[in-house]
Amino acid sequence: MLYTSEALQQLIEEFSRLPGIGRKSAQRIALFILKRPREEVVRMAKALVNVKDRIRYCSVCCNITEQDPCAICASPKRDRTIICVVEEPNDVIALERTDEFRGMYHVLGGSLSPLDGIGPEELKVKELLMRVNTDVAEVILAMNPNVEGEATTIYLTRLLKPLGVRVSRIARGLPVGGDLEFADEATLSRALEGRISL
Amino acid sequence: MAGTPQNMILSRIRLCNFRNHTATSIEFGDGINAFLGENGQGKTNILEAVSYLSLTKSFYASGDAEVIGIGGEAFDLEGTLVSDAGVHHQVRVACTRMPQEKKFLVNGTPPGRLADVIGRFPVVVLSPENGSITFGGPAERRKFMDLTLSQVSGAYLEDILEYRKALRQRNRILADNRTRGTLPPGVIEPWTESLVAYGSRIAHRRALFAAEFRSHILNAYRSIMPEAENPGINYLCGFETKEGDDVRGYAARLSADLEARNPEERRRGLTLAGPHRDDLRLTINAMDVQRFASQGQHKTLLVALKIAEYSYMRERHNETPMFLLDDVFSELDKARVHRILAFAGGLGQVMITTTEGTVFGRSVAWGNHNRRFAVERGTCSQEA
Repeated sequence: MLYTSEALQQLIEEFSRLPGIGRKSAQRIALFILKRPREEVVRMAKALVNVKDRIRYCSVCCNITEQDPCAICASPKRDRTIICVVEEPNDVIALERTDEFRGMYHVLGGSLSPLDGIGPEELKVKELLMRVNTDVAEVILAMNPNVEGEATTIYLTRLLKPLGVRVSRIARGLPVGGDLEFADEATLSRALEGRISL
Repeated sequence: MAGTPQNMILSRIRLCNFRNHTATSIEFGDGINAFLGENGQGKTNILEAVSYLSLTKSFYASGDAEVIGIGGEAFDLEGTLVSDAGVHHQVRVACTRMPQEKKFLVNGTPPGRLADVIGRFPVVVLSPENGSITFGGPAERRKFMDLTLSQVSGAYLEDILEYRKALRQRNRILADNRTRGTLPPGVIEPWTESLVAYGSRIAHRRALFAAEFRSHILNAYRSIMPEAENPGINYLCGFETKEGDDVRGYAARLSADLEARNPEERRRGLTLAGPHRDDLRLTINAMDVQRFASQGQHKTLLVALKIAEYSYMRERHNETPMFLLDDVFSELDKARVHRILAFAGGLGQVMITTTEGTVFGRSVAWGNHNRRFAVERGTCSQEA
């Protein structure tokens, strides 16, 4: 498609690279920006650059942060004996929203996937092992419930168990507020597998 | 009409820009529906459209873009399925060429994933391509088991999908190792463990399937071929097993087998044990079909396999499957065609394509229950 302005075309191309944004949406957003006051656009552009300039990885949990260590790792209120391992920063946000977990986190930066060239070296595995010392009582593995997450869970379990720490995984199963009868068979059978005694 | 138990049927379908059908609407009967016409008029395309509503794809190995009518940008299919319990479902599949995108809607809402649709509206297809089940390689017979079992068990389909992913990942590690010659410790083990977990469940289910299927195939074979021939089906597992093993037993054996083949796997860069190497051994009078059967026996066994698949699914599924027969009568003698038709008359909804309208003779009473359609150059009209 041909646009009358090269600048506009470039912006549309940049936007269409964003996840979940197709060509049409990119065009809509670009034209929206064109109509906004200049100050607003400058503010937006600055925010984009700031994300890259100010954010780094926490030297403890490998989560994204502005100060090192991050707010969670620096907080005296957190329980340092429990580490919850997740794949991405998004997962920390999700778990924090629950307001249930008061321990520490460790962000791996993905899950094992040889097809994508991601092996243990590409993940923050070494950093996790360094953190597991005598003060840590439990490591909770909270990977995504897919094949890659499963393999990552198995991999980490094999490394962590010999260190003498308690290793657990989050339960897989039924969503809260869902009806048993509407659950798909795979979810239901995993939920049965992971049943707990009362 | 809720409350009256019946067979699941497709009551109507609308094809828009689907292969050579630019705009075709069909009202089906709840018994035999015959589509008559010369070659290349669009009979099979109608069955293909039905397959889309049930399996989200064609029963031929064609891609979604290939079934969009020539010169068209998108196809659109819509059908009304009435369940055994009499509940109506509107199913719609729409697919665009650029960008290639497929939308599936059941009663206006998309299912979570396409895989969630499989088995909701079960279907059994018999097409000339299926000949490879008795003639072809093991992959064809695994496909046959998978399509049947996936429609009966969502857990099985889930295991198959996950197993394939784990297998691809594990093969990549082995292939990389072969080219680079280094395999750090602990890298392959998680994938082996996943492979064993999914693989043992799949193999156990398939072994059970073969055992359960035996009586179905015997009955089906007898119904079209009363002579004293004995068909047999045996599961050949892609790793060492022992009869009577439970899932745990399978897991232990697959695990041991992979362990034993480890040096060879590293040399060849491939996973060498697991259900991806399974096969089904088909026999007639204890003789291997692949090597010893005549053309007629092949065809009879194939039809029997499909009838057995139908009765197996009917027994295990709470919906009666639809039966699609694509051009199956061409190589069969009159007596067998007659028996197949007599058998089909006692099933739920059946759809048959044929170039030869005379095959039906007096075996089928046409009317509201059994309908006849003439298919010509992408149109379809009901015949009196």
